[in-house]
Amino acid sequence: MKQLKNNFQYEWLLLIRNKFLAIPIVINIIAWVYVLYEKSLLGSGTTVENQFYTYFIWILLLNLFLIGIIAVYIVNRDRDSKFEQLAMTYQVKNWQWLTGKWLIAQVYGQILTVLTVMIQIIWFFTAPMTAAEVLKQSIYTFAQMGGAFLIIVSFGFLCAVLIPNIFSYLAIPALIIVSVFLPFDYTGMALEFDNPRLHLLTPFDFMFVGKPYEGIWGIERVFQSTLIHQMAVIVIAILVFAFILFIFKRNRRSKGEKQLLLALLSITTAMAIVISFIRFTDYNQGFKQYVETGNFYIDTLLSDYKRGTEEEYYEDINKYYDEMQDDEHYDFSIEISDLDILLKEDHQLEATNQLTIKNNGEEAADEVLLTLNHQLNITACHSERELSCSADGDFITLTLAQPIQPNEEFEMKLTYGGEILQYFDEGSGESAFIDKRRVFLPKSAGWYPLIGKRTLFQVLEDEQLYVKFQIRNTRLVEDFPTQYNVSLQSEGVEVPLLMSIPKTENGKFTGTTKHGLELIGGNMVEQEVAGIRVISHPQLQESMSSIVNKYHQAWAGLKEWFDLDLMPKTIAVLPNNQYYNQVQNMTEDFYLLNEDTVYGEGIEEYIVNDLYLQVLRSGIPHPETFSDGGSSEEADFYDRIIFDELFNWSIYYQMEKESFTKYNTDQDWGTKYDQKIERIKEMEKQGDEYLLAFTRYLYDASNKLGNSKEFNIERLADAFEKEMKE
Amino acid sequence: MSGMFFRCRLFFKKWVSSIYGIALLAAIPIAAIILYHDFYYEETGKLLSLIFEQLAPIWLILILQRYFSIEFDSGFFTQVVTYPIARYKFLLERFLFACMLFFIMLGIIALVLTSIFGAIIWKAFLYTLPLYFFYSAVMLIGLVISKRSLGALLGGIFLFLLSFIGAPLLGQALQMIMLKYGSVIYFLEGKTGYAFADNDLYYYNRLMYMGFGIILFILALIKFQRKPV
Repeated sequence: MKQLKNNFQYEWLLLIRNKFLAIPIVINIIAWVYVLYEKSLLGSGTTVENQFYTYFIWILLLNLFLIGIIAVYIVNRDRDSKFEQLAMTYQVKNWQWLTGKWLIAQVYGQILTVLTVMIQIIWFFTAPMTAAEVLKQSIYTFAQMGGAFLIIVSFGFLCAVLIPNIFSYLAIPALIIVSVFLPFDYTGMALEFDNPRLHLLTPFDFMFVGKPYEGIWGIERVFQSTLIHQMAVIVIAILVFAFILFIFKRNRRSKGEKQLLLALLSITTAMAIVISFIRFTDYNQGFKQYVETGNFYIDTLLSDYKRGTEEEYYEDINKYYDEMQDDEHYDFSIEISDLDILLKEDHQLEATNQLTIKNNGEEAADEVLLTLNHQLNITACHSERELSCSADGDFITLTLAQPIQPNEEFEMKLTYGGEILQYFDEGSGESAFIDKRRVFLPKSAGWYPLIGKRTLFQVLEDEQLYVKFQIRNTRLVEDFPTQYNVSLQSEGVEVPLLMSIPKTENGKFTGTTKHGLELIGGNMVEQEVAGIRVISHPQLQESMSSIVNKYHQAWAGLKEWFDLDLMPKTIAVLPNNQYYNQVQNMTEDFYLLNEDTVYGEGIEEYIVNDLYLQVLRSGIPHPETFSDGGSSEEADFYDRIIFDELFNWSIYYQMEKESFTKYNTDQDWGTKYDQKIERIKEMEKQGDEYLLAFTRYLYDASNKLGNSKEFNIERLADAFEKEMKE
Repeated sequence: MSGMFFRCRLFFKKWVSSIYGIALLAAIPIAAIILYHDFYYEETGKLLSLIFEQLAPIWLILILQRYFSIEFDSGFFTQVVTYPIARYKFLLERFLFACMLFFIMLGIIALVLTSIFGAIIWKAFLYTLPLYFFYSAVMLIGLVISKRSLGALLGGIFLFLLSFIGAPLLGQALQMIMLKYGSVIYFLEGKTGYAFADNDLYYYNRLMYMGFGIILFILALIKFQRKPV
């Protein structure tokens, strides 16, 4: 031990005397400063955790490279200077010689870890966060970074011992690329050659898409599995180091040393296998379930489909998904739904649902269809009316003894329960879950009975992917509104719960909606902005209030000028991944915002674009001319473009009272376009409101037009001016 | 400098007399052939990017490192600089030798590819030149700071990782790997017009790397100069 201490002190002296070893620390500080200022994250209206974790992985990768190189350097230095040859003639033991070096490399790595954790803690305390929360997050960062450095140092030593020349340095970047490249920049679409399970073989837990932090749910999902992963990493790091000691200069190794090493090797191997197995099964069951879900709903594009270029293929796929959207009319509706829900930890749900179903059609029917996720088991199904229930997959068929007449209603009671846990992106994220500190049950999970036969997932065969399919959430559209009375109870769930309908009293929610129910629980607050309920992370409360106010202006304007009532009652601010999973389910009642969006200066343009898409997506009929694409050879191409611009401007005008000419600068479409725009500019002289009225006129005219007819702005302008004069 | 041709021959002989040297020279053509045969590319740009911007830099790094290591790692350099020569010429000469080897080999690949893809190869080659220069300059800086070829190697590898994995961090304007984008190939083919205002990004990107390359290059030469007594 005394010898080891001497070695350590000698290495420590060498370390602090080497001026090059200050470079990594300086690079770290420069990197953080770059992240903070160049990317102008501060004051961008996102949470501090979001800002930190966006760049944490980059800093981690940078440091992995630096620490790995330093580890190789520390071994190579004495060998290249031939000092090792001399030292080997001393009475120093093999393990003392290498352990001293290994410890010093680890100390250096942990200095950088501590630096990062300190930056994180200071940064997080600038926001109103509790000490416990900050502590948890810093444990996460410490485990990720510390574990990663531990293992990269061991591998650096291994490379340096095995490759006795300058190319041992190349092994480090090669290792990093091999282990990190597959999961890196991961889009949740592992290609044929890439097994998602291999993504577990990284020096830090990389089982997330984009970043580990998920807005209102924080790092709750990844926290536990990361700790297990990092435990495995630490054990493997020690195992690798024991292996290095085992193969290093075997001729001068004593017998006792050998026996000790063998003991250490066998203990660490056993531990590594056990812990890795726990981590593997943890992920693998999620992955398996994802594959099961995929195979349950799988569908083929076309049996004789020929794959063209990449672009054509994606176009065909998008077309396919658009066609498969759930917009078939169903005559029945759920008029009233009284839902008693009990949520339990570990994704358990128990519910009793009292339904009032009405036939809105014109014909009598003896069969009514409901949709409920097949993961949930129906335990009881009865009604005062004589009926039988049968469940097949997601669909429940109610067969009535006596047909139900038009406008007739009947009541029934459904009891069901089970586990509800859904994954996206090959199991590296969850899209429906009930856990201690996070709950998310979106409508698309099918966790309560939906009327009609609805597809909960669209899954398409894709030979190029590892899992052989791609999966998307569907758009579920209701034909009629339902009055929901929800009574919510939970066991073991510690976070506040909110729904897409308003809360009346403790645990009770009531509301009439066409959208349906979404249940969210996490670190969030509810506020009312201009009559809209906004559910968001506490840190976003202020910025969301100003953003939603802008949206409100635009929605109010759309209603005033175009009779388009798109203003939602509730807005939820979701993290990036969940936002994109749910975005197609936005309706006039329920709207989603992405937590990751940095609005900045161009917020109005962003909102214009967003609402334009909302008009396109909404069930409300919109002009056929509102579709991008088309070729410039079509007679009404420029007219349609100008109409689109006018419509966008009228949304913009509600927020920033700016004239069309000012809004519409920098357009370069050619002379034909300019001629037509001149006409608009002439009309603008009569005032902005006059132009708005003209846009409305165009909107109506376009709505009346069939797709085949020509849309001519000049002709319509003449007609409009004539009408105005009269 | 007198005897330059002789030294060039000497270096080349040294190069081809080791298995590693020959293997290194053969590596990229072999990689290019494998890439061409094993993968089906709809877009030329993707293959060009893979060869010119992602593989060739590794090659450049290894060739430069080897040329530097011959004198710097063996300690012969400490003796050479006692001769009455200008130090910057010494450095420039080694750099030139490495470049000759690199560009001759890359030229051969480009010639072969020209028969398949046409003149776009040479435009892409030209477009990547500033990047090679930037790589070389960073390696030179690493070399003169650490006085070992290791410094050059690490500098080059770090840059390579930055261009490869760190690409999202660099943002749109600073990308080093550009050829894989269809718009860049269109620009190089002249389809979108060289002088069109929206294309200035493609100029400025390369101009910036060229500019930084020159600055770093000069800094390295200055740092390498004999200290005035």
